[in-house]
Amino acid sequence: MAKKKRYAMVIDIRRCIACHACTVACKAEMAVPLEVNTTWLKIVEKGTYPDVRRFWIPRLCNNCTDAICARNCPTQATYKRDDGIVVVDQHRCIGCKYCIASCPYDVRYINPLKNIVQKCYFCSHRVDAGLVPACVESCPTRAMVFGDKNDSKSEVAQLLAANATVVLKKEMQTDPQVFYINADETAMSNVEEDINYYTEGALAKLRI
Amino acid sequence: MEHADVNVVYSVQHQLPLVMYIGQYFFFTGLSAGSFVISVIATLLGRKEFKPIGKITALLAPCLLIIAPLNLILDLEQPLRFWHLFLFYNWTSPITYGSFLLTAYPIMGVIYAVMVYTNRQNAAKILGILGIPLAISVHGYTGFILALAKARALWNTAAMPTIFLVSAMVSGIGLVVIIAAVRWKWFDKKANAETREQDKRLILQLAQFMAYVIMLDLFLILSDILVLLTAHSDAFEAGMLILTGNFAPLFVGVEIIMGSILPMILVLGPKSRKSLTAAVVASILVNIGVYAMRFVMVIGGQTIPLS
Amino acid sequence: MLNITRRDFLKLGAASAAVLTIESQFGPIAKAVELIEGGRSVNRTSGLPRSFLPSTCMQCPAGCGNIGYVEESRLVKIGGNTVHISNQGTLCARGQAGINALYDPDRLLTPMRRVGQRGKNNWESITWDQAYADVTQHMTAIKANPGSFVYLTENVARDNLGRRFTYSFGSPNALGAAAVYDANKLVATELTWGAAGDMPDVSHSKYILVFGANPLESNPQFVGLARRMIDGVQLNQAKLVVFDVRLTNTSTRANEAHYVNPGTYALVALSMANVIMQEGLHDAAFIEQWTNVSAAQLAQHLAQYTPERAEAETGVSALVIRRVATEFAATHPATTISDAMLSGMPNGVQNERAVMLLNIITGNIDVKGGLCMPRQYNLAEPNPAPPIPAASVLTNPPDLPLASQQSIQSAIQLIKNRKFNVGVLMTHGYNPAYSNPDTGTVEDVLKDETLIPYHIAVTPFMNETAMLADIILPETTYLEDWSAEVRSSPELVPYVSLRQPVVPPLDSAVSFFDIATQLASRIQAGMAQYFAFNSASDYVTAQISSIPGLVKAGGLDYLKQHGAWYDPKTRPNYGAYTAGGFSTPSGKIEVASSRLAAANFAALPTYEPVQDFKDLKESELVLSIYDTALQTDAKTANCMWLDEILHDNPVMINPVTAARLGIKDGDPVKVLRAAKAGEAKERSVESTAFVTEGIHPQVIAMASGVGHTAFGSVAQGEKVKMSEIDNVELKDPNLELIWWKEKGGTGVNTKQIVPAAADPIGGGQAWGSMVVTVAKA
Ligand SMILES: Nc1nc2c(c(=O)[nH]1)N[C@H]1C(S)=C(S)[C@@H](COP(=O)(O)OP(=O)(O)OC[C@H]3O[C@@H](n4cnc5c(=O)[nH]c(N)nc54)[C@H](O)[C@@H]3O)O[C@H]1N2
Ligand SMILES: Nc1nc2c(c(=O)[nH]1)N[C@H]1C(S)=C(S)[C@@H](COP(=O)(O)OP(=O)(O)OC[C@H]3O[C@@H](n4cnc5c(=O)[nH]c(N)nc54)[C@H](O)[C@@H]3O)O[C@H]1N2
Ligand code: SF4
Ligand code: SF4
Ligand code: SF4
Ligand code: SF4
Ligand code: SF4
Ligand SMILES: [Mo]
Repeated sequence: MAKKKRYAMVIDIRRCIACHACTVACKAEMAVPLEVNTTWLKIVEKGTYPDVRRFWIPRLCNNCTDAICARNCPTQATYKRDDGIVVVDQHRCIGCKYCIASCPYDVRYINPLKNIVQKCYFCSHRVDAGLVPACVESCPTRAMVFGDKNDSKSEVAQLLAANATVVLKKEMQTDPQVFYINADETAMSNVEEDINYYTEGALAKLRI
Repeated sequence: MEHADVNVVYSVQHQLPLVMYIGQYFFFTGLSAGSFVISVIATLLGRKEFKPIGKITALLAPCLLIIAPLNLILDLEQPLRFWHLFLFYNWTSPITYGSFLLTAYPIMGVIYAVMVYTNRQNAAKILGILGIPLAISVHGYTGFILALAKARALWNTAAMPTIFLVSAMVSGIGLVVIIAAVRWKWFDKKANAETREQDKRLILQLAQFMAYVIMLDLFLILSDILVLLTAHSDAFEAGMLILTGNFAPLFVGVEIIMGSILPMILVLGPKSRKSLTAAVVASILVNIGVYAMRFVMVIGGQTIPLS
Repeated sequence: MLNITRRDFLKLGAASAAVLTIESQFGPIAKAVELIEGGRSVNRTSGLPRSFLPSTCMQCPAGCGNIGYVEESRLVKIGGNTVHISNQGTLCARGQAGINALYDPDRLLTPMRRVGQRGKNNWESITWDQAYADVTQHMTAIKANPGSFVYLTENVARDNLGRRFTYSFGSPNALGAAAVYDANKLVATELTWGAAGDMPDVSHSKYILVFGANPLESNPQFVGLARRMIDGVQLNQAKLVVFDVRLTNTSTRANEAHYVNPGTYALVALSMANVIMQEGLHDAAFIEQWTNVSAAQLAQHLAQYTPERAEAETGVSALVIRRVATEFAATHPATTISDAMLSGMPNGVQNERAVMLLNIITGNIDVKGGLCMPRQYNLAEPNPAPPIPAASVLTNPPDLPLASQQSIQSAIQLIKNRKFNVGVLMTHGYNPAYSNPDTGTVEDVLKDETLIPYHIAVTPFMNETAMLADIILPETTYLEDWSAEVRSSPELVPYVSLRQPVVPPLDSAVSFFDIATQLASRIQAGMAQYFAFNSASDYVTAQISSIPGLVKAGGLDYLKQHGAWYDPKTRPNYGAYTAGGFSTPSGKIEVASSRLAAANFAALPTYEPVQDFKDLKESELVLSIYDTALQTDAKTANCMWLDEILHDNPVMINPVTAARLGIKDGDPVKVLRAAKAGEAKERSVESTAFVTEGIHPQVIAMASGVGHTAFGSVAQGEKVKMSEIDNVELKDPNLELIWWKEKGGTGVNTKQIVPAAADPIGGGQAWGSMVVTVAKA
């Protein structure tokens, strides 16, 4: 018997060029409205001229093994599939937003057009059809790799075996399944600062 | 975290999920639970002079608890689907046990009120005793809602449910004081002087009781903050946010000074302790303070960036 | 060790992916264990496969292979085409956002004629018949003087139909924007090795030197080059060294990033070449056999460029120059990457030649991992081909004897000064009123009815240039159009890519092929014979007839099914020149260019300081304008998914400079350029300051691609009410959510202050030579 599937994503930051292709791929694939983002880049700039660098990570739902969003969802609208993907049943969700408040990664949002909660589902509909997620497909430099980490022959498993990886906020004990290779510590931590004006673009600003 | 040499070039933050509907809901359940407890204490003590207060609070508790969930439903993005809460319950979610508590508690409260108003003392006592854990749970679970959302450092502390309960008591007593005082001043004119004097003393006692609960509340908050400041970096941020940051005016100014310390001085101070006006003012301040506390907790707790 | 695993894996992955995808794309989805890398899409709710058509992206010049996925005749997604050899199944943000352009709520869907004054944006809708008649009438009126017809397009080399239309009418004046961009590079490479352009073979390099380019964010071969460059750096462990004036995504990925004083690249490169020659690290055999100079001659010429001199003028330390030069020469194979901002200088041709020299003297020319010559198929000019009319002052400006690319700037000047009389102007897929330097003058010229009596704009969108037209012919977008596309291949294996409509033309939009055919048949019988094709696809069939391998593989049918073709047996033929030499007068690499010498320019690669940068006052700064991964020049502004991320261009400024000027982060600032000779007054734009450590203290930088004054609501950040959109196909509730104007603005068009200035050799615009002052606004 083959081991149970466990889908995971490895993002090799050494290969990522901060091109935002993943963000736009997801906008199209998941019909993500303006104002909200399922996956996006966090880019910080560190250092003093001339020793200054940018650091970035693509951000998305970690499809955590111990998904606190699912644990806290009162209607089981959010639940974990057998292959580990954490999904939201759009017809069951009542929009209480408790899952958003519970998730330590700010990756869930209310879809402003449909009034239900959304996030990244690792493109479960594509995975079910035998395809890699849309963001992975689009990534010009193959920085994103997706697959079954329980299958030792998969690229994901091999990458995990061969490289040191980090996850976002390990201390939250959610066991994230998005692994980063060579991610910068500052980019991974929550930088407490007013989001700045930027060379790269704007943001869905914090709104109360 | 503070990084002096870091420029955030680009990032996305999503809208705060929980808005003041939730804070308001917490506030109203708190008031309800507080008044229910006072009512039951009055009933249990069984003294004649407590009766009016017992009656008012018995009525208040279920009324407030009907307003409270309205806030909740209004906050839902899909209000018409609220029944999913019961059909598709999830026992690991505090909202699930909350929804059942929220249903059971007002039913029990109404029956209890009927008993109180129809003077069926024994039944009222039994129901009251049974009802207290329910009332505590109804409000306590709101604290759990925050405490179990471990993403938010300000919420994710073991003290949270207790703080919510105690502050609920404070605001509940405050409300009772206000209503009792109003009744005393305008609707109780026919009673004889002695009863009026007795009632007034009772109200003042209640206000003093409130002051002691405030002390307990302050102690809990103090310990919570001390722990926040010494725990991990996000928790430290959370502590600083309410002590010196954006939410400091509301927390330190409104909640602590205006809503806790000032009322304490008013009801315990040698000059004002005999004054019903002072007690009422103190109670109003207390309620403003507790409302502010709900705001600081619910909104402030979400403003620390998660990424 | 770790990297070996990754490399092996990738190789394996790529191989299996190739097999899988070719199968998967055209057969049923395999219920395989491995997930398929690309070329398929399914409906999100039903899980059913979507119907699809492969085509070619046109959101930037790279021409990646894309696939349109369609549901109920609506384009729902654009993905990458796995069989396209350049982008190999991936697609950048802009390519995917093309769907926004197709369904732009402000798309032009009916022909329009100007009402009232030109440029006042008052229009009447007319029928296509009326439009054709109107245009025909004006064209017929200038029949006696066909040379007064001027056609402006983005890339005239690729706009075969536009050329054909212009030539068949009898005018030579089909002009492209190339001069605005890479003319200097094309001229420099052409002069040096006899072929226009270059292609660094980055995936096989061991050392990559980047000068004034930003290939990980923008490049004429963006996706194709970036993915190979990352392979080179990560799998091949190539060392990446970047010289730039600011922090870019490329320099952030580099092993070393050095800041250079603006305009001084050539000196860096030449002093490195000097070090290499002095240390004897050069490839003497290659220089002797394949260049027209001797090593001794070259060494002697280069001796003036000491690292110490370079340090003083470029700001790069002599130590770094020596070390990098030594490393570059010692590491094989190695290559350089240079682009717009190296060639886009008043000394652009010399800059390019200086950088090329590094590859030449180290024997890295056209070797695996080195700087290679472009490999690209040529499309046939379908018969009958119209004769090319005799050249004009516009096509061959007398003051630019060596410029092989026509100069649009000089054309504008000639028209402005009435040295050339325009009868009819047609602009097509080109937006000079936004993208050219000195847009003010371009606008003035386009507005003046005595200079431009009749202006036809062929465009899907109401851009800044169409606003100044007399008649607008609403063309289809690239997603509804046919064409054969060839590019210089980053894989060094030439290919052909087909652009075919992934959806039928919206409403009454008409393809340029049909517009040209209709007009030709109405204007004159002599023209019609050149447009006697049954359809656009017949025209494409004729174009690809010159490529026997493709014809054998099935020609158009193959392309319609697969989108792109390359000869699977072809491998990069490195060192192709060894067979017949270089196509230069001497048959060798002309390090000493006889043609430059003949035109009285320095024959050997020479550093020529930028005049405007001499004696910069402390208050004066150099403005650098850069492209980003999210917008393409004048094209993508109506794509909401891109604008949501990049809609603004604050001024990057170094904290030291900002402090000196009393500017704080977020302050409103004014960027001012003093009046040049012949200009009535200074030019300025206003923006906000972005104080960042990532920029040379003497430079400020602003992104291009934003700051539109036309193009409609999306580009201008305005919400659109659903009720205001007439065409149901264009209704999209997202348009009501547009938020960026309210929260940050939509930027400014920096081109307003860029003076038109060309390299006297190449004729290419000198984007990078702008001296400005900055003050709090
Ligand atoms: N400051 C500054 N200015 C620059 C540059 C710079 O780096 N900095 N770069 C320069 C360079 S390199 C260039 S190449 C030029 C480019 O300048 P342009 O050639 O003017 O710009 P494009 O982005 O190619 O878009 C031209 C027009 O094509 C039309 N278009 C868009 N989509 C489609 C479509 O699907 N089909 C058709 N038929 N037409 C479409 C739109 O109306 C658009 O306005 O800009 C130059 N301007
Ligand atoms: N993603 C993306 N790809 C594109 C395009 C796009 O807009 N976006 N446009 C396409 C087109 S038409 C073209 S022509 C190419 C252009 O692509 P590139 O050739 O890469 O042009 P730029 O990004 O304009 O300039 C490259 C870098 O030059 C730097 N620079 C270095 N030194 C100097 C200096 O001394 N002065 C100045 N002023 N700048 C300097 C800038 O910081 C900038 O990062 O890309 C094509 N591909
Ligand atoms: S990242 Fe957040 S939303 Fe995603 S599974 Fe983990 S807890 Fe849930
Ligand atoms: S918003 Fe929806 S998914 Fe989230 S916790 Fe509530 S019901 Fe569950
Ligand atoms: S896996 Fe799919 S849903 Fe998740 S970020 Fe990528 S494209 Fe979006
Ligand atoms: S698409 Fe790939 S390279 Fe581009 S930002 Fe996303 S992960 Fe990075
Ligand atoms: S690089 Fe991007 S915009 Fe340019 S052709 Fe390729 S996918 Fe299209
Ligand atoms: Mo360009």
